[in-house]
Amino acid sequence: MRRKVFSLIFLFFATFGFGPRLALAEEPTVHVEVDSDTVSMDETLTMTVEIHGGSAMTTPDIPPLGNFDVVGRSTSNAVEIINGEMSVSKTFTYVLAPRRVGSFNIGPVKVHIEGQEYSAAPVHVTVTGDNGGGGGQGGQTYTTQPPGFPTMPTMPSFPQMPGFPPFPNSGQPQRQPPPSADDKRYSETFVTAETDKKEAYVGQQLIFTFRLYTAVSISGAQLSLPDFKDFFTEELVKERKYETELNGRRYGVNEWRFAIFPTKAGTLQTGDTTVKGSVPVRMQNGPFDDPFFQGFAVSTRPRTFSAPTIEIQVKDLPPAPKDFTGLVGTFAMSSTLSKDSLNLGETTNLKIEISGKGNIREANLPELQNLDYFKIYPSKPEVKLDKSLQGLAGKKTFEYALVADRPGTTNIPTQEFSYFNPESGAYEKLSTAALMVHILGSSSGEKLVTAGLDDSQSPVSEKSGATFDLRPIKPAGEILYTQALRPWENTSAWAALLGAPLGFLGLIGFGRYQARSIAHADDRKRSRAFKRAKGALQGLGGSKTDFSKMSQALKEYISDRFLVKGTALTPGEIEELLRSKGVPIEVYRRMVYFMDQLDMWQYGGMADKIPSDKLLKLEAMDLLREIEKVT
Amino acid sequence: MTATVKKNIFRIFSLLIWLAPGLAPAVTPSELSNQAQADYQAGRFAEAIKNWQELSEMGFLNGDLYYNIGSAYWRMGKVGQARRQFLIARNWSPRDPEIRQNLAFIESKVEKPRPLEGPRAVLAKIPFYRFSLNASESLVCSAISSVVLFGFLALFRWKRKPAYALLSGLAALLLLFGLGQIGGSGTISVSGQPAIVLSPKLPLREGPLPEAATQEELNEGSLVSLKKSQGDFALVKSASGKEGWVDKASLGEIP
Repeated sequence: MRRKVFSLIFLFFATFGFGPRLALAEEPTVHVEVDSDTVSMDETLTMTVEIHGGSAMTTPDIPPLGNFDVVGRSTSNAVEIINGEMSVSKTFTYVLAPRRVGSFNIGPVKVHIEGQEYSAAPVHVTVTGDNGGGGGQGGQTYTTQPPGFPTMPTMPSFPQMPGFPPFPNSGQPQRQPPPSADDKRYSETFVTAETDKKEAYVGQQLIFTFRLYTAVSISGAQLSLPDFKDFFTEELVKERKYETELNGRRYGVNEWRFAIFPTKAGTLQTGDTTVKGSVPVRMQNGPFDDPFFQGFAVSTRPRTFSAPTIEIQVKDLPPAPKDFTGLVGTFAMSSTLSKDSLNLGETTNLKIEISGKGNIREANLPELQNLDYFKIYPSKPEVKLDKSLQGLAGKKTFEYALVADRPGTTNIPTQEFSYFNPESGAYEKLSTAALMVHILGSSSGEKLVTAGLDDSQSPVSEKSGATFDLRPIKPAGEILYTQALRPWENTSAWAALLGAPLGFLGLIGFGRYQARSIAHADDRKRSRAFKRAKGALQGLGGSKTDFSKMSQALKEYISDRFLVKGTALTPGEIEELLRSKGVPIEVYRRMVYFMDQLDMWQYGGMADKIPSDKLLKLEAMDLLREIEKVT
Repeated sequence: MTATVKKNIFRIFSLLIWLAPGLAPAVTPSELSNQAQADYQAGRFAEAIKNWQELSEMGFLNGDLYYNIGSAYWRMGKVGQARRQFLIARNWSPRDPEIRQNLAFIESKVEKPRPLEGPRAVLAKIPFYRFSLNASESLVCSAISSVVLFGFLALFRWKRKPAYALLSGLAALLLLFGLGQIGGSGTISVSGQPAIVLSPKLPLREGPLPEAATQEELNEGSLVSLKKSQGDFALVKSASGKEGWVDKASLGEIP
């Protein structure tokens, strides 16, 4: 460790500390070499550019590498002092991944040192096609098994893990030719894909397993599963991880397992399975190809590992019986009844279960028939899947609520169901036992209508409501009442509902009316003055008292018309008032004269000079009309 | 026996025959109710329904009675009538949990209930229906709150005390609550006049004719919205949103 540290310190000072003070010993040279002049598509190439001499070296100028990707690069410096003369060298290392097959020249590589150009001759490289099956562009494809796999030629490559069931050997699994033992490619990462059978019936379950074996870490791994175009699939377990040892080497294994069910007859293909990810690549023949630098000179590059499609020979099913619904596998059936003795109107639950290995979802029962004593309410069948490494199994439960609608003893007849057993290659029939039920009459009273209900049950929770029917009816004594309103109640309620706002509006209206009356009393008095005076004059005759009444009516008119308080007006006051209100002079003088005359006729006894009633009234009315004209 | 005596005997006999129905003891409501319950328990559901309907004609109108009628129809397998009767029962007794439970059970058999999610599922668990009123209760509540509201408004107008304004505000809320429920609990989710399909696989036709093409078959017990009537047919809108004509006699309106 200490030696390595000293080596690094010496290298640093040799390059940057002593360099300027020592004379350079030789003319600069540029040398380019590749670790191999032939490389395959799935390999990398290491190109080294070594520059000797010079002090102010630039990086090499390499022409565009269109046929290669640079997947790694590094530099190193070396200083040698021999007999006081210093020799400096700098090495540039490039890891190249070929893009296409063919023969290519790399270079010429040029370097500018102290303003002068130095160059090296181009190197020739031949890229050959890859050896694996189905690799994509820019990636490598490794298929099948690692080198030296102990039982490679004769048996499937699945390592037998503790608790891991061996697959039945029905048919020879597909394999690529095994790689040679010295092929290092397979020693780090590889993939396998298998099915447990190569021949099957339509609908029969097969188990497809894909495994990724890695001895190094893969970053950014992405799995692309086969399209399983002609299969119905069900993932059995999520990605499973474990370790195993193969040929003395430990591998991490990632395993995916699916149950696949062929949907048609013929030669079917599962499809390719691929894993893409970046794997570490160790640089070869470079300046760091030394145990001292192990762990530093590692790069990553994208790789694709693929397992080829698997071919399955699928046979059609033989002609099916009527009650076959497409279920293939091995199954059993059972039935139970929640109670075999019940009252009329009560409910019993018939539960029929089909369980076994295969795609249990396909299980279907024909409609229940010949149940004359019951009304049948089927529930939605419930499927419970059991996924394991051994395959897909499960249980499908059919439940029927049977409400007894006729007393007597009856049998729930046998229910039959056919499935195809691929092991025997024939259809097999399952049947339930006939179940006897006793339906009692109505002697149990109220219990009859409870129909299997207890207080904890609710129709909302269908899970627990398997025996729920209806709540009991209301007792006879509790239904003799009415919730309807009696006619008078109904009328009163409507009257109150509508009358209250109307009354309120009436109150508001009355209040407003009163306020308005107070505000406009004078106007009203003025506007009514003529009408009142006319009315008073109508009924008068020619007696003395009538003169007084006529005089009074005229005074009241003047009082109302001009809003004067009191009616005890003297002729002088009347004259003054009328004049002040703009009454024409001839009118108010006539008025004063007329009122004087009235007084005279009343008290003076000038009976012979009294005009007729009619004339008096005409004069009075004429005066009133003249005064009315005054605004 | 003279002819006159014979004639008088005949007259008396005729009079007795004529009076016999009136003289016969009438069945009391209590007896009728007991008889209906006995019929139900004996599985004579049609007779039970008849007796309960007779009680309703006598004026015993309540949710419990329609609850029993609905139960009997359910036992008879008449899903549509059962649902209709339970809906009527709910209109009378909107706060009765048993009516709601039975109705929910029947509706779950007729239509697949849609599971509620989020806040609606939480709200559905709160028994708001406990505050529901039937039409009569709504009317009385509204009438009382109306009198109180306008009484306090009048007092406020007269005295100008804030307490009267506050009380009239509370009364206004009560009035709104009552008026909001006067048309029923409002839980029938169809626009227009709701009706129940009473026949199994009732054809929804494109026109009001027996030979018109069938658009779909309506399940017994399903809820439809009644648009209008024409002859023996009614134009309805089904739960799936389709409009078509059905035999009017196969529909039961919900009063």
